[in-house]
Amino acid sequence: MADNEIVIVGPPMAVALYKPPDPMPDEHRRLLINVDVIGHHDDFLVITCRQPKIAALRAAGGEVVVVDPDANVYVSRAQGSSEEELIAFLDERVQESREDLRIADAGRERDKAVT
Amino acid sequence: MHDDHFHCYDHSGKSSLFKRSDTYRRGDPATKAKPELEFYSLKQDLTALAARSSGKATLSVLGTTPGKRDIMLLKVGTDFKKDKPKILLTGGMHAREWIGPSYTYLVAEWLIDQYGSKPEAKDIVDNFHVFFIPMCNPDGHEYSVTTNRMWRKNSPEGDRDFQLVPGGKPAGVQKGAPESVDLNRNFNTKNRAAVLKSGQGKWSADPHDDDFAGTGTAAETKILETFLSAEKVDVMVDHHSFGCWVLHSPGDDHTPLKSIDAAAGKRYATFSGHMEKLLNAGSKKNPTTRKAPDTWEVEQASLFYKTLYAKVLGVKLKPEESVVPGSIKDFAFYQSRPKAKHKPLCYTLELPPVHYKGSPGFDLPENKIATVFKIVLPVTLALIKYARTDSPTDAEWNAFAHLP
Repeated sequence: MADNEIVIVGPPMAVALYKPPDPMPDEHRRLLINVDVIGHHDDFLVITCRQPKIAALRAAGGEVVVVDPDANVYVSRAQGSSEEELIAFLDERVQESREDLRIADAGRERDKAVT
Repeated sequence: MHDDHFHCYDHSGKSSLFKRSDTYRRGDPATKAKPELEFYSLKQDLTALAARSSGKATLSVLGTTPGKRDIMLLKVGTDFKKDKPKILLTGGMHAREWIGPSYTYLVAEWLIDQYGSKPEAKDIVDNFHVFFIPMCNPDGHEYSVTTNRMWRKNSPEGDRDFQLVPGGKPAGVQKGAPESVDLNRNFNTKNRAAVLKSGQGKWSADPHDDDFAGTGTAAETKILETFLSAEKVDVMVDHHSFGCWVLHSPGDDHTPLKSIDAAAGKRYATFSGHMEKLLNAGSKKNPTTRKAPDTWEVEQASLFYKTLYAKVLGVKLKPEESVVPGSIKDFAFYQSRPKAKHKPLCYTLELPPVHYKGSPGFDLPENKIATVFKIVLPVTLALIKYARTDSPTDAEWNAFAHLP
């Protein structure tokens, strides 16, 4: 690595949009509340999150849209983009994520029908 | 403000940090100082400020962190044996919130450099004791500059995701490393133990979470607690970033302050109201990152997350789920001076930006630091001036509005 190269964000920390279920189930409230909030976007919180926690939040009923698995893209966009561009980027990620989820759900339904 | 300043931290590639990174990384060739970025240059700036203060500022070291970095104290004022109002301004508790150290330093710089030209600066330097600890968490801060922009806690070596090489694989917890904790959940405040025992609130018992409260007292916390226990302050402001919030003590008790202590509740309501008005007036004149002015709001720290969750998500948190135990401002809040007429005024200021959708709350462009300084300085000066005043008027507060 060159002496003047600085990697700003390492791989373990993701940036995600997050919305807990409402109402929150009592058994998962602590997990669902205890997220690292760094902003908000529409009715989502913007959070930073270690990778294993994403699955746990989803399993507890939260909607999690991974904006950026290592936060580099998000940080550079937040710095370099206009307000409109950043919002459009996040909206796009929400749409993609929901479409992925719809396809996955459809696949699961199909598998159930087959078996 | 000096151009060649330590707050050249913008990581977008446009900033002077990158232009000068070789020098910063290798250190000062003359002194062989440690090759560090923010911390190294902040130390240089504080040293220079004390040197040109004509005896009105002294720089000392409160203690050293596990990463062998000093926690520095700049004392501004004269006649420290005399009883004068004591004010503590801190920054850098959370590693990634870079505006905190910058703003805190700039207030000290303004007081010293404007002593001869602004009567308000002279009054404060002559009649008050103002303590500055601009970098409470130098180990974590350095890591956020060199390796992980999102880092919040203190020493990273105690976290399983610690990377030996920037961008490399997680190396795991390093042998002998202290716990990586959220320092602002680690202070031994009055109700912290009870909150931790309850299992409720905005803190974590998981060492891998960013708001891990810790199983013991971190080295940085001990250093700062020792200072606060000795210097029981009249006013303490801890500077963070996540939007434009004035958050007052207590954070570790969800009971509204006016129900805990009616007199304190009344005084805080007066001061917080003045702060909110002056900050909003400043924001109208000084846009930060978006076209519309930022809107500042006031909240008791323990109820902040309750308010935020309701506002953003429409989700209702119970008050006990919103408490934030173990903050430095609460530690100061509970350290009342024996003969003091008032409870100390203890605040967290959450500095801009965050008030546009999607923006990370601590990622302020470098060229907006001066803007934040212009918005917040009048409030800082008024808080200092009225540290021992019952109920300052609007006119008294507004006397600072024209500054810097």
